[in-house]
Amino acid sequence: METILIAEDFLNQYTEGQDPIVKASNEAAVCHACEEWLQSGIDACRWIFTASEAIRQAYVRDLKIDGVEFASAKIRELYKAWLKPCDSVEGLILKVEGLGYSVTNKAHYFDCKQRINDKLTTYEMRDFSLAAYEDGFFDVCQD
Amino acid sequence: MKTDFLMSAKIETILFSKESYRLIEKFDCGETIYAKFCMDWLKGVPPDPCAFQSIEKHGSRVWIYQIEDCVFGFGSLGKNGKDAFIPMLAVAKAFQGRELDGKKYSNHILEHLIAEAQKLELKRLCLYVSNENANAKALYKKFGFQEYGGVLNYGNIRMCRSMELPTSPQ
Repeated sequence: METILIAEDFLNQYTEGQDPIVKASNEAAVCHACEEWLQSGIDACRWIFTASEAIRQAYVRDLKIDGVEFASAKIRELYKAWLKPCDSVEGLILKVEGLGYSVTNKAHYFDCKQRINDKLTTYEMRDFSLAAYEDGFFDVCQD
Repeated sequence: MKTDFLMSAKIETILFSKESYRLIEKFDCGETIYAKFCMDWLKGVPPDPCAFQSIEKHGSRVWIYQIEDCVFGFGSLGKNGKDAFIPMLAVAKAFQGRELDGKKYSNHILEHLIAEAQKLELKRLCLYVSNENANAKALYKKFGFQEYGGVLNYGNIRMCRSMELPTSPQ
């Protein structure tokens, strides 16, 4: 129960830019602190998946928490929001590596990015699947 | 939790619900994007398109298939106008390509869905499948499904079969 409430709180703070992870990310971005920026992204990724799982558990256990379905819809926006700074992050990685330094948490960052991209793709596939179901087969399956 | 032994005496079919959700928490049908699509659909929460939404909004039924208390797949069946429709079907990674009683696990699931679809007394049973998924297309063709139209979004194609065809391939 507590996890779910924390997750809901996180969802709200993340989208409003008030969550500590988001603040840390913004600060790291301003300072061009590559490792810290990546780490805050990895932390955010972990939190989004944790929040998503907490919401799922709340739903299937029929816990009466206001806004469970609303929070579920919001998760999709979080995945999109996570991807927004990726071009800048990857530009900084190249810059740091170009200076001869290694970026230790790069692989973990790209793993997060892949997982989030996959989630967004499966959302789109499910949208298509639902639309196809609702549209039916009448246009192509004539008697 | 509704449980039946409708197909092989060894296979248990369980209707998917919040009550039976715990059975599929660790269900894994692979790492491809299509596998992830199936799993996200099964484990999703409304209002996102998912199994629960399909049940609540469209009156679909979703079955979990077990053998010796081990979930080997799931399948779903809905209705759209004059057509019966299979929104989703998947076999767990550990059971893919394996057989029970001389038939692949996917065949057992599809036979059950076709038998359930016949009870709806509709003319056709339809589904979407990835055009790249040669194994799935071969399975559906074996059961009399034919392709209709070209390739759609995400590389999907439509396939339908007449309900007058027998449940099992001849």
